[in-house]
Amino acid sequence: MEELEGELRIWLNDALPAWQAQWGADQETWDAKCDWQRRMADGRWAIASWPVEFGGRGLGTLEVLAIEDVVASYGAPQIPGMIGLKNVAPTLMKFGNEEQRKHVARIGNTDEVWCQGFSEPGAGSDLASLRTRAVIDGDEFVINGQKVWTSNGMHASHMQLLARTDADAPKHKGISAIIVPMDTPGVEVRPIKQINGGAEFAEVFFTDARVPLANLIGPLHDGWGVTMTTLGHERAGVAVFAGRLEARIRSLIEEVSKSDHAVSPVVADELVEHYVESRVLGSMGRAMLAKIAEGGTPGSEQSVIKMVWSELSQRVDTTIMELAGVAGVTGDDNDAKLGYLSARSATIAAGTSDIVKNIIGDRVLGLPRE
Amino acid sequence: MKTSTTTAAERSEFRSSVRDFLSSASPETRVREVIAGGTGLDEAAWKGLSADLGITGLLIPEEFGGQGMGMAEMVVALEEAARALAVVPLLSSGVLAPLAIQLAGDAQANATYLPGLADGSSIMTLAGIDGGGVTTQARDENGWSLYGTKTAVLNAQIASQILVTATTPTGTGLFVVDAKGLGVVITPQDALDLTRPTALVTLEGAPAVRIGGEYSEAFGTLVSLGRIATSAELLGMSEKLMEVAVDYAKTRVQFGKPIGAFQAIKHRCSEMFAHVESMRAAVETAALVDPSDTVALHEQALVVKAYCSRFAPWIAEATIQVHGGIGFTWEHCAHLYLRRVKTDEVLFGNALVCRDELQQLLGLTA
Ligand SMILES: Cc1cc2nc3c(=O)[nH]c(=O)nc-3n(C[C@H](O)[C@H](O)[C@H](O)COP(=O)(O)OP(=O)(O)OC[C@H]3O[C@@H](n4cnc5c(N)ncnc54)[C@H](O)[C@@H]3O)c2cc1C
Repeated sequence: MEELEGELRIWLNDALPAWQAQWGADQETWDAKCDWQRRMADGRWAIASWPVEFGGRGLGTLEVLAIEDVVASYGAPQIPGMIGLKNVAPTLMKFGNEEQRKHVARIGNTDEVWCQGFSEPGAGSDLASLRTRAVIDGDEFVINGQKVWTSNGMHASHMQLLARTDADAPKHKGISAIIVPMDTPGVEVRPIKQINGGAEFAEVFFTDARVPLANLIGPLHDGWGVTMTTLGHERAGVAVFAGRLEARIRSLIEEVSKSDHAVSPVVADELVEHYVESRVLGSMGRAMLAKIAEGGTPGSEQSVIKMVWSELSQRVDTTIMELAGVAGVTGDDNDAKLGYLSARSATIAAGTSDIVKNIIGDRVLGLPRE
Repeated sequence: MKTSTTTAAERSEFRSSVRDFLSSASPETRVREVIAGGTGLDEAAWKGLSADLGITGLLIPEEFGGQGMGMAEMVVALEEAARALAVVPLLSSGVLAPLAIQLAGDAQANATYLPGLADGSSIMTLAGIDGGGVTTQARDENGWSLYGTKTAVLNAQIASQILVTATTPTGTGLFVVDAKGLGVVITPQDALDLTRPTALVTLEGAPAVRIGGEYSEAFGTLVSLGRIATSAELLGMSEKLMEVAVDYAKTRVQFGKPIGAFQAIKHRCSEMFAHVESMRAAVETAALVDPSDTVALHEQALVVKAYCSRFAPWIAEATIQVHGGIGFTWEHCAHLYLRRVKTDEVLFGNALVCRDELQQLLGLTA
């Protein structure tokens, strides 16, 4: 692990300044971020979890999380094609045929940017009630319907679509996972502006859009199984979120305690409450990583950490906004303002807090369903 | 004291053996019997935990008849004893007394007291909290004499000796007095916790033996370890309460459904679970800190106690809420836990006290 981190640091010491020099003032642009991902993929860092036959390093969860931590500590930019790298590529590696697996390398180097078309206006928490249809017509699927909240939708070249292929089957059993190139006629993407002013997600409309039957991933009507298996890949990441939140609160407190203004005991107590909870959350994250290291499979820990992390991180951004006072609402403290707004999504995306509590109640505690 | 000599698997096996023993030795019916008896001691359970299972010797080195283990093992026993509401002086005589003595670094005291504590044949307790806002004084009058009052002294009625912290002319010292001795008056208190009686101990020139030398630093470590120990009790009780609440939510039917199907109840139970898991991670982390690393120990103990003192009472209260009217009855076990939880909450500082210390530790306030 240490050897790996050393190699990574040596690589970053060259690669990051080179990238910065090339992009200068344009570092925040999409192209700049794609270029960074390309470099990270060339160095086999962005794709470290992928098996060697797909160009990766075949590393386990712990090593990959360690790599991400080091990269984050260098202040490197966000990888733009995260959904492709973490969700789509593993799905294709596991369920895709020879032809479909050719996408994997292109996902790595950003020749292709992927999005996931799951949520619909009528199907969010109750995802399995989705209604976008894909009807078989000869050797093609004909797709009609609408997706929403599609992250990366505006930039995407491809979508991993979940669509209903059997309207008569029970709701989880009639869904298929289908590859849809975004330039397919009949596919229209519109940006959706978010509360933080960004437009990282989009809505996608399908009107008689036709894709070959060969674009089916895995078995027909088993898109649910195909998708849920690989969603697990990103879940271990919550342990790292836990550690990062702990570090974030530590540095927030350091910053506040070093400022010239006296800290009121009320403010101090709010910060200390967050500190206590983040230290406890950090312990949970480390326990989960230790379990993985010993070859165990985390179970309920993921749900608990996701729930505690999302609610605590939201409270922290609320405190930062409070600390900013008037500067937070005038926009003089833009970070506080945007941080506060952006944090609202923590308890919505990837399963709302209410749904996580349902899952813990139903699956962990065995409480009766509603 | 060692950090940890056992693996997680060994500790989990140890937990099963303690739980098995207590589920037959200290079921709720037995706990209520002992409470009604008013002795404040379940002798059979105590003998089993001490002489048979060796739990009172966990924190005592082998040369004094103990097992030479550490807090990582002891927290398991504390969780289980609290979970069973066992009416035994485990915290006072099995944890605080042996730790207090060993932290004084007095070879003679170790040899005198530790063997009896290890096999459970002698019961000792710690009188650390001054009552009535007056500091207990130790005067050197041809041998030490103690003057003052100590409150919330756990299990004082059944202790043979009491360890007392007191101000000396030069600082702080640890002393031992004979519980039945001259100048020691023990007044039982009408304690909230029915499973662990407390007393006011009045010292009117009680002759005392000093253990070790200057004790202020050692006392700081003792307080940290006390925080971890009481947090472990809070965890053990919280886990049990959560199970009780969840079981009830599965069986109690209203509006034609088990109440656990209602989200107000279900989500409360899920939050209980999240807090219990959080407490577990915090207690295990704190119990594995090397006690000689006093800086880390101090911080970790404040974190775990601040957390458990805040959320264990919440769980106990939520359990009563989930039960409705039956939760408010003497018959139901919830109040027995609530009472002990509220007591552990304040011992060695409640959440407010711990957060206040953390403010200073983190440099937020002077
Ligand atoms: C930043 C962001 C990025 C996203 N990216 C993507 C993406 O790339 N692809 C994609 O497909 N989706 C994406 N989503 C969508 C996300 O998965 C959904 O928003 C989420 O699952 C909730 O669905 P919904 O918005 O329809 O809300 P709803 O399901 O309508 O929920 C509304 C409210 O009702 C509550 N609720 C619903 N059902 C229950 C219940 N059974 N019990 C109790 N409360 C309930 C919810 O907790 C919530 O408070 C993204 C969302 C966000 C915020």
